[in-house]
Amino acid sequence: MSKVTADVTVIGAGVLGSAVAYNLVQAGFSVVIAERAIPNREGSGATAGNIHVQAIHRNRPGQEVPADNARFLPLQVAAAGMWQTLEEELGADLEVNQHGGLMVAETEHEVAELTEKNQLEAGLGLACKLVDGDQAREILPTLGPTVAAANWCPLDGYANPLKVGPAYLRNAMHNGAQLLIDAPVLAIQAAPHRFLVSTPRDQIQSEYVVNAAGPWMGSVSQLAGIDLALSGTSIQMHVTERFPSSMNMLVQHVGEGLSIKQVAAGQMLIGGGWPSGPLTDGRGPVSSASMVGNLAAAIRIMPEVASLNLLRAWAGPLSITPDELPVVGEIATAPGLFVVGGTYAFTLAPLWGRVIAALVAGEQSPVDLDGLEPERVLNTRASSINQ
Amino acid sequence: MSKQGRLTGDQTFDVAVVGGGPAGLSVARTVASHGFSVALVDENPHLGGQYFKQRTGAVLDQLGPHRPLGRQLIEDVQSAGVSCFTETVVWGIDESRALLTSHARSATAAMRITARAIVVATGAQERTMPVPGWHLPGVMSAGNALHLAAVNGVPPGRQVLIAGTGPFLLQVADEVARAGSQVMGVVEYNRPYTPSFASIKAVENPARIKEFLAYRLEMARRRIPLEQHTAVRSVVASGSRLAATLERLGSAEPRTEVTVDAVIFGWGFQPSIELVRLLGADLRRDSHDGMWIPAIDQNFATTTTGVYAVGEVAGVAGVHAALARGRIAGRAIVRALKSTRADVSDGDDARDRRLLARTERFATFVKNLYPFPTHELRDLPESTLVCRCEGVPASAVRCVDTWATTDPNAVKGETRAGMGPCQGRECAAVIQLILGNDASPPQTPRMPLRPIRTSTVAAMHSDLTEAP
Repeated sequence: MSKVTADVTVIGAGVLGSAVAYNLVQAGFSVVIAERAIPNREGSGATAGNIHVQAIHRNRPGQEVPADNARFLPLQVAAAGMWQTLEEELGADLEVNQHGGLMVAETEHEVAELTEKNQLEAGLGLACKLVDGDQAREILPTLGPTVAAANWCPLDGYANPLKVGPAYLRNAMHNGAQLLIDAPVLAIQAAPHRFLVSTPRDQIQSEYVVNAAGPWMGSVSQLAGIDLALSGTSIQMHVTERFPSSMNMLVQHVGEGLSIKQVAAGQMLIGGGWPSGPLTDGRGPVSSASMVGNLAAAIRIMPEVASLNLLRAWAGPLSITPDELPVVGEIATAPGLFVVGGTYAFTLAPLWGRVIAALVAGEQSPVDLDGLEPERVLNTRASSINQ
Repeated sequence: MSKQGRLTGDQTFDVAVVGGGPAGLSVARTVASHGFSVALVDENPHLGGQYFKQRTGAVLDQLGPHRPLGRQLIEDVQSAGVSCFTETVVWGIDESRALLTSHARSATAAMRITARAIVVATGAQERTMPVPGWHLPGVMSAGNALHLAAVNGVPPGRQVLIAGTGPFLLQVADEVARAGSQVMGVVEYNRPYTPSFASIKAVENPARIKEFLAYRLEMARRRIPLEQHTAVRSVVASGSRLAATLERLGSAEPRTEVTVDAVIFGWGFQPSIELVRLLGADLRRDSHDGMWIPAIDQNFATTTTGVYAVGEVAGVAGVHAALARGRIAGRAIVRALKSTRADVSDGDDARDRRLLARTERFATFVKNLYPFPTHELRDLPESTLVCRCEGVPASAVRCVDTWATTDPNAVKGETRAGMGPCQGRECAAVIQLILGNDASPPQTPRMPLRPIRTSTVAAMHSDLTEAP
């Protein structure tokens, strides 16, 4: 058993944990990252890698409540700005593409929803443009004939999720962060600002703990006696063979689970939140039903997809809050213990990295966190640290 | 009577056999002869697999049948009433463990096969050993060369060089010479043909020795030189031809160069375990060659209930082992599906198990004669392509992040090696050997197991939901 001491223990070396660690070492903290397996291999590496900026669709298959777009939008806009400079900041090619995106509608009902969404965005200061089907096909000629309207957001984009997390992590380690791999957290002894985090090989003593464990965020919190109402799910991605460049924007659907874009490698990456088989310890098997549903939607919206070979399908886990909003902040009953995660973790990773570093330093968050506090997802008031 | 299966919708059988090679044919014949319904699915246009490749049309008329024993087995399977689905690719499984298939030439013909027992007889694939220039046109695998020569009657080149390791190189030399190529040399990496104390073990299999001597005599008659303990170090384009550089191992002799039209590499075979893994079977390493195979019991049942693995999937051991394994597994399946075992012969079983033990001993003997030169990968030049689909050089594999080196999936994520159309079949094992993480199972197989039109998948929507 080796003993390690640091200012902050970060649990999880996904994109959030890595972004948090990077920002913490930049701010002068010493950091140890405890990763249960291998960095960036779970949700952070398996995500579609979208940088979602326009108000999100409300219909991920299986989604129970609509996301609060008015609450989300300022966060997405703030994150989009950070993505613009991230490659320069990290000194790495992350295949960031911010050429904008279209969210399409097919039915009358969807067009109405899209129109309402566009007005909400305008009211919140995000300049999107609502166009009809023919205008949409002028913007992107490969859109199919069923597209009746589209909302153009100039800030939408995507990046390569296999590159972003590792780039943050390399930078964090270059600046002194220590990474422990194959180090699942087994126990957390918590006293205010004095934590002892145990893995099979290490004991980490630190003043702060940041729980960025993705789908394991709930079970890790429980080790510290904190019961958060979080659930895990696993969603599916599909990638085609590569083909000559035909589009450089993100396409999403307002009424169905669909996101589609041509990534830097030339392949079409198709997602949209279709569920995989049931999650077992963070992994879910690919569901053929979701594969069929997701690809059928993709072919309808982008008919050229029909002639491409599907190369690979995979699934990645997500951590979900009851209200579909992120959960970010310090747990009031456990001073020094922070959680970060929830919806759109990839898009918001650059933002949450800065926010957590600021909160740990006792500074003002760069964005308003009202409504995102961990308290709202606390299952019981009894879950405070034993003094 | 051979039944022609319908190619859309849902179909249910007692047993589904994936792979129409010796093992698959053997299982299918055994099970069907006891009255059970059997689907035999193969991605190729004709049954027979790699060993019993079938000639058709003008090539058959001109050259006669290739390996008549296979022809007989295929006819037995067809007359036993097995529903044979050729040109049918098994690309995945659904939530209820049904096999998802599609037809190679029809984009809308998706079929779902449900069965009480699934037999994975997906065979083996060729091992690869990267060398500078192995991606050039005119460089091909021994299996491809054999197919061109033996099945299509096409010589792979006017003058060819055959290199690598294994007894298969002799057979390929024989077939490509018959098809009209001039074989400029067989370059064997190891020294299997230098008599040693160990070679005495070959006596146990006189038929194999006879086969070997026939190939050697034929090579001598055609004046095909055989170089042992020699490696091809690089292949470069030389006008419209290829120049291969040869090095005699452990010798100070200068390297020599041979200019040919085609360079044929054969490095032996590895089990094709993607489907059996997708079905959830536990894996273990073959104790003789270290390759990953499903964990099986004495009846070739995997750890997934109702899923069997026969033939080369259960460990590379050749055609005679594949046939015996197929018969043994076939009888076990019959016993498992039936309340009575009256008409399954225990005598046949005992004889097959003795035959199998002898054949497997011989396979181990052969593996020891032709070891795969893993150590060569250490010296592979940095710029040599390892993953040809995605153009990933050895240097990129060697400089993955420290935290990723132990996990084949993480290496894939960082390098893209294995993300192309071959889905890692060519590079994955080599990359594991380069990084020394071959104690971990290979990259996780992903659906679809073969690239498949997105429209074929999407068409399942109506096809399968509307099936009666």
